[in-house]
Amino acid sequence: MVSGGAILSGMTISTEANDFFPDKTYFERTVSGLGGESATIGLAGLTIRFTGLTADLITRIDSVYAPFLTLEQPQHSALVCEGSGQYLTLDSGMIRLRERMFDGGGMSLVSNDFAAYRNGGSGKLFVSNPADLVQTTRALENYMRWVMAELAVDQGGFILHSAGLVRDGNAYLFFGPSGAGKSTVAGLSNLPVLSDDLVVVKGDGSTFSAHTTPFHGVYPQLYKHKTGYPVGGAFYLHKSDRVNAALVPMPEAIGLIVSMCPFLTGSPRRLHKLLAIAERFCESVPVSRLYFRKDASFWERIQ
Amino acid sequence: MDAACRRNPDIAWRTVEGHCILIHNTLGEVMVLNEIGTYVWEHVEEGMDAVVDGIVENYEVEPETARIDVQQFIDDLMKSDLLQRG
Repeated sequence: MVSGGAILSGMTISTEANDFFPDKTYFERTVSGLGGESATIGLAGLTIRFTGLTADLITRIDSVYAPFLTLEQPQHSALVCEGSGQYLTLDSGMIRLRERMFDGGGMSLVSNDFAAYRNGGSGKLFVSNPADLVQTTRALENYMRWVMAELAVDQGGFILHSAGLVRDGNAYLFFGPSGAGKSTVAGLSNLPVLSDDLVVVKGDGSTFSAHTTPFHGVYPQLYKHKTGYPVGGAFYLHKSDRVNAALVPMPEAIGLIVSMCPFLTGSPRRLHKLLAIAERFCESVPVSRLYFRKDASFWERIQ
Repeated sequence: MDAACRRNPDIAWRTVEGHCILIHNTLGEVMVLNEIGTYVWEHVEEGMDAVVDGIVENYEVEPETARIDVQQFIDDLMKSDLLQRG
């Protein structure tokens, strides 16, 4: 009778014997940056400044994030410095991420090759091998995902684990966990791609717009305009041998949306705000479950 | 369940159209409760008798059945760290 409900998402926290999982004193000690350069990256009004960068890193950042470099005042600042050779051990080759909240404020995000810490509007990013520019840039990107997820909620929006495609001036969001088919949908559609991994959704009262990000899976973003596109619909992906789009009731829609917002944890107060934002989003944007097969026929079900 | 059962303060929750959406702040887990599950969640801190009485009053169910089901549901919420003993 009282079946209760369904768990939509979650993560399992595991600890390996060889993990190095730093405590707060490790992060709060005084450290120097890798170099004396800095860069500010902004997406849809969410801005992070990285300091302590080397000239080589600046060159790399210029090439990867050129459309997102900005002179705007940063909302968050992070010092990049050298850390331990390894933090978390590789688990069957899979990259692991562990988040931890500290008593008295501050939280950390630790992976195989970086350890990050933030407290309020500033933080530190410890990278294992600064000479490896690809690895270090990936650490910067993870830090951005982590912080921007929070900044987005603070500004009345959220970051959605989704593919964002633009058709007739509207953005359509196809969301779901890894393997759900976000990149597949992007590849099948022959439409401008905001991202096939993470899209910034911003709210302006009761209207919501989707914005491109430098975060992508297989398909790099093709629309680099800084302006957003009104969200025409959001679709939770199901791979299937049939094609159907079914609207979901409001509570389930809210649950599906918040379950696909990365880095949910950290602050119950912020989560309360996210729930309120998601409710407004689901009031103004139709949310459906989309059953699709590997062709573009699903667009016929999307009005 | 005893009267000291309480909601984990680490949970963010919101009731929309009679269904409660829960997010566990530490685990990142999201859960959507059905109508009766939401009733239990909203009244759980009033104690087992109050929850069972309310369900019997609002839904067509025998008190003994309601008590058994509510207890099972409470146990599940405890295991998921959504509820705590006071």
